[in-house]
Amino acid sequence: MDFKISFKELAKTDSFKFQCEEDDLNDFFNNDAVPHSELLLAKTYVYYKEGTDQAIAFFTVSNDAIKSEDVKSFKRKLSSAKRYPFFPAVKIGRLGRDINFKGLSFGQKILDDIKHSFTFNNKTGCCFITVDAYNNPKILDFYKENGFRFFIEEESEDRKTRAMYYNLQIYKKNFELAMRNYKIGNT
Amino acid sequence: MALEIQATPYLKGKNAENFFNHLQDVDNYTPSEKDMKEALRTYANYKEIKKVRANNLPDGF
Repeated sequence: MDFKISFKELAKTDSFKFQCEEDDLNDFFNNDAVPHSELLLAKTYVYYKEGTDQAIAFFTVSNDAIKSEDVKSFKRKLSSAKRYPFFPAVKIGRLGRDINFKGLSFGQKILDDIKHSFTFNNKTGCCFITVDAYNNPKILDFYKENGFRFFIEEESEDRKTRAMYYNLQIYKKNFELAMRNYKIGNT
Repeated sequence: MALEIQATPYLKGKNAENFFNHLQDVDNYTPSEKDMKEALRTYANYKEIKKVRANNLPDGF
């Protein structure tokens, strides 16, 4: 990349330019992201070209929890530390990349940043990433290729989004074993 | 108004069973070579992005 990138939490005073292929994402970024942040419903973070108001990509996150009915026969098989009535999670409410920065794998990199940050740098417990992925094959494949699973396997094709989750405990196990095996320092 | 951020579904029946099966699988899971390499790729991307925005990281990132 022949430009420098900066990163910040989106604020009321910002006037970033952002345009992607999804009208809903453009609408959210331009009209709803700041009000959501002001109401503490969701925070939006922006990657932008240093020294400019050109946004490259953004993501929006909120606290979340995975809740389930009590399936005792299954819970008994789990280690005691996992017999919780709910599991803390972070929800990616939105993730978008500007059309001018297509082909630079920003979606992938941002997802990896979120995975690693919420596994190792988070100030509260969080063992899952959840996402409402747009219900189109390209988007769903992107999340599946990155280890996300559907909460509900069979859902109507008419739905605009599909709820998916990623287990950060898997990433933690993979990463820690890789660090030991390849003798790499985590900095 | 853009599409609202959706609530994560409350898991019942078959979906709850699938979720607990997944948790059980993770309990018993040992990473393969491929899994470890995938984790290193994730880490490399994290470091790349962290490096470029190192001057103004918000708390927690």
